[in-house]
Parts: sequence; C-alpha cells; structure tokens
Amino acid sequence: MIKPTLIEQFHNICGSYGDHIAIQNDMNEITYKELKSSIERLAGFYQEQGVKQGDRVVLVIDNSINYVIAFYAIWQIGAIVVALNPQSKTHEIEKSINLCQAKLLILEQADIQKINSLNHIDINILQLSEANIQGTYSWQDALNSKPITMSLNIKKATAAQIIFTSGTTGDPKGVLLSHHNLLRNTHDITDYLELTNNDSVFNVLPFHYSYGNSVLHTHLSVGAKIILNGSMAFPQDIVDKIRDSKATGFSGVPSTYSLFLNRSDWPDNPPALRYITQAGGPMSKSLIHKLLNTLNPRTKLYIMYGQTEASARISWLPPEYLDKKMGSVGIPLNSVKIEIRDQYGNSLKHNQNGEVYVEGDNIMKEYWNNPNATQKTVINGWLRTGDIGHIDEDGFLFLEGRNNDMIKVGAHRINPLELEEVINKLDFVNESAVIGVDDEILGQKLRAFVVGDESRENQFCLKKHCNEYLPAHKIPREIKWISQLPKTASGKLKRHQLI
Amino acid sequence: MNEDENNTEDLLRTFILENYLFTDDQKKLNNSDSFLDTGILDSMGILEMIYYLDEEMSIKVAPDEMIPANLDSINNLIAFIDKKTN
Repeated sequence: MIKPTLIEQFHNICGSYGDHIAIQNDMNEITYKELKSSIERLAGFYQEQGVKQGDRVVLVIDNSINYVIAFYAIWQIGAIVVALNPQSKTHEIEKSINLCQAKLLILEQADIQKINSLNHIDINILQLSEANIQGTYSWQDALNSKPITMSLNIKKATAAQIIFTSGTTGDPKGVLLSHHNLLRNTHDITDYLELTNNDSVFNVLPFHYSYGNSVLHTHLSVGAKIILNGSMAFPQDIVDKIRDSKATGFSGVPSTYSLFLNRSDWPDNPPALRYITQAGGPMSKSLIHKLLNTLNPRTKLYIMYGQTEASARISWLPPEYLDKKMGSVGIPLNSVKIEIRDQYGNSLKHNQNGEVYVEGDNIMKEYWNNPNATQKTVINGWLRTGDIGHIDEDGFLFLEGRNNDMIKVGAHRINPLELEEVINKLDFVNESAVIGVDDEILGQKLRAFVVGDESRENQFCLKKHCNEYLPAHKIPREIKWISQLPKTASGKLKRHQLI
Repeated sequence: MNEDENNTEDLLRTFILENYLFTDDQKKLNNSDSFLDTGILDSMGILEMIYYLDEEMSIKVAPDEMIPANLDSINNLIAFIDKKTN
C-alpha cells in the first residue's frame, strides 16, 4: 500500500527490509534498520535545538551516508529540507539562509572557514565531525540524542523541501515541493523503471540537485541499495567500480555518458546494468546512437525530461520506442499532463511548436516567499516550463529549445545575468555579457565577454574574483575582452550576436 | 630531480596556480596535495588538465590512464609524465 509521505514509506520499507544495505560507499555501509535508528536520534537532536514542524533546515553536505541521515531526520520531525550545493560560497549560503529564514545549518567538518564566516548569523550550526568547534555542535554528540520514533500526521500539501534554482531574473528562486509532490513523482518513476528491493544504483549525481534527489528517494522507497563511490573526474575508475559493485542501475546527464564513451573502456566492455537513465538536459541523437550501440544487450536506456519545479520528472521515453521516436523525451508520467500552448496561452494541435505546459501532482506549490514569480510560472495549476516543443500524433513530446537566455552547462541551469552581476562589480569592468558556447563534453560551456581595462593584473583579478563569488560550475571557462557589446538602438544587449 | 622534471614541475605548478588558485604565491600549492580532496580542481578541471597536457606538452592521456594515481597531484603528474616520456 502506498504511504502518504516518503518518510512513512521509508519506515514501512525498514519494517520489510531492515537488514538490507541502504547506502554503501568505499569505506562504510549502512542497513535500513541502522539508517532508521540514526535518523530517529538525529531528529531528537533537531528537536532539542528547537526545530519544529515547518521550520527550515539547511544542508551543505556532499553525497554521503550522513547526508541521507540528516535529510530524512528533517522529515522525521516534519521540518523542511533546504539542501544546497556543497561548493556554494559563504555569501550564497548566507543568502539562502536569510531567504528561507532557516533555523539550523548542517555543514561538512572540513568547512571551518565557512563556519567562522557564518558565525555572525543567528542560526545553530551542526558540523559533521567528532569534536565540536566552539559555538557549534558535533555530529557524534547529535547522534547521542534521545530518538524520536513517533509518526507525524503530515497532510498531503505540507511543505517538504525547498530546492534553489537559477531564475530567469535576479536572485535564485526556492522551489517549494510538498510531500505529495515528491511522493507521487517518486512512485511514477519507480513504476516505469520497475525498481525493486533487488536493485542497486551506482550514483554519481549530487543529491542536492533535483535529479540526484529523485534517485535517492526512488531507490530508498523500494528498499534498493544506493552505492556512492568516486568522482566523474576519473570516468574509467567509475566504470570499473560499476562493474565491481555489480550495480543494476546508473543515472547520468549527457556529459556523463559522453565521458564514458570517450574516456573509458565502456564501448568495449559495457557494464551489465539492468537500466541506465539520462536526464539533466537534451542528449544529442548522435550521442544516443553511440550509447545504444555500446550497451550491454540486457541494459535498458531511459531518456527522461523534467524540471525542479516538477519535483524532477515530467516525461520518459519507454526504451522500446528509442528507435521509432528518436529525439523525443517521451510520454508524460502517470500523474502528469502535458500541453503545448502559444504565446497567448491557447492550446496547440499535434506537431505545432509552442511552450510546454505541465500539470499534475508533481507541480511545486510555489516559489518560496515569491508570489510574483509563482504567478508568472504557475497558471491555474499549470507549470510554464519555458521550454519550446511539440507533441506528435502519438503523444510523444519533442523539445526544440528554450524561450529565454538560460545556459545549460552539464546538468546545471545557469542564468547569465547572475554571472554578469558578479563580474560587473569590479571597478575595472564597464559591462559584461555571458553566453553558452558548444562544448563536446558538457553540451555548453560559459564564455564571458568583458568591456573594461584589460591589463594582465586585471585579467588575474577577474579570475580570482569569479572564484571567490561563484561555485566552480558557474565560473566562465573562457574570457574575451572586447571594446563594446552589441546592442539594439534602445540599448538592449543583442546576446545572439555574441554566439 | 633532473632538469626536464624541474621544467615539467614548473609548468604544471604555474598552470594550476594561475588558472585555479589565481595567485603566484608558490606556498599555496604543495606537490602532494590531492587536487580533488582539496577542491583545487573539480571534474571539469581534471579534463582541462588533460587538454593542457595534450596541447602544451604533447602528452596524450589514454582512458585507462585517467586515474587518480596519474593525475590527482603535482607529484602524481610528474611521475606519470616521466613514465610516458621515457
């Protein structure tokens, strides 16, 4: 029977598969029963810190067993998870804490610098180490707290998680997902992937990101095993470990598969997986063909499409249609409807291009504390995705592009305005423009055009400044100094002329 | 360490210091520092390092050579390049 929330589903699974391994990394593993016990004790710590139902708890932790404990313990007491990119700079963490008025912050033990810089904020800090730094709480102490085992009466619409995403203008927006959003999307995904407790997924996707978040919940919701091991910096190492671990599944973005095909022995010796999934941006037809030609005969490839605002997943392409519907991102999930509409919001017929609108149990409640942005994005319960595409006569969705300037680097959606704002802060920069240019591995990479005083010292200073204020994936890989930016008569940037 | 190795070490250190640590302060980088563990490079940075080895030093990295033991510190890189060129 389907439980009303993922935390209750998790407890249910622990009852059936308590001795199964839930998470495994290169050093440790933890069973479902042990995971449940740690979650309940950490939930006790949260409560001692005054965290109550509906409060926000911020996680800045790499993928690990502790991440999962910290995450599910937040749900155990009915609070809201706000997981940030562990590469976030201090000012970004501070901005997110302030935006969601968080009650508790959980940081990696190595982040002493971050802890010191954030100590002035009125927030309790838990750090994942054995000994506590002054003014913070240690992980070991927290796990000695009195457990909370009671089950909460959480309603369908109760908020569960905020995921910050790059908006089309200004500050990042907090996508607020309910327990129901996440539960229904998780069940739709486990259905089409036919996931069971016999599966084990080798995961390299960051959990703080929507796709990784769904990999975590889908596998825990059926009692499967999640294997965390290694970095995509060394693709051969990952492919060897996938084979050694006897994983049944793997999830990646297009660049992951491009790396496997070009930088490992995958083409000659593909791992014997049951399923592989691809999302996080469109994968070119040539890459899909290359991947299909190298797959182990028993491996099914699932092409998928989604957005953070849709809890993760919107559509999937059944593997048997890969040839017939090449280039499609498939059909809607069970609890999802898709429509193509014109600029006035009118529905379009088959094969006509327009904006993709989505409705269903997976659509976010709102952007956190941002009614204006919510109003522009969710129209009468339908999500405006900003993606352009059409639906063919058989109901398969084909995407053609986006109707804004967002750049997709690997799986990251990046707003050029945010980067330009950072670059323009420098005294010697008059103005700048950032675009995405084609990249063999990442799909797109960032190129910044800068107007200003180009001395060697300033070039150095610009790179240093970007490194200080932006996480690695947002730092432009190429910087070109030019005398002026192309503009319209009214002074609007002609971004397309830079490409 | 012979003259070639010194030269390789200088080139590699300069590449990392200028492009990822944004400084010319030699004290900021130890030859034994793991690029990934210390956060100096991420997966994109390792790829850029591979392009750099190919373009600037004519060292081609085969897929099975793309492992931490060859690429994840200045010392590992020097040993790897030495093995490839001899």
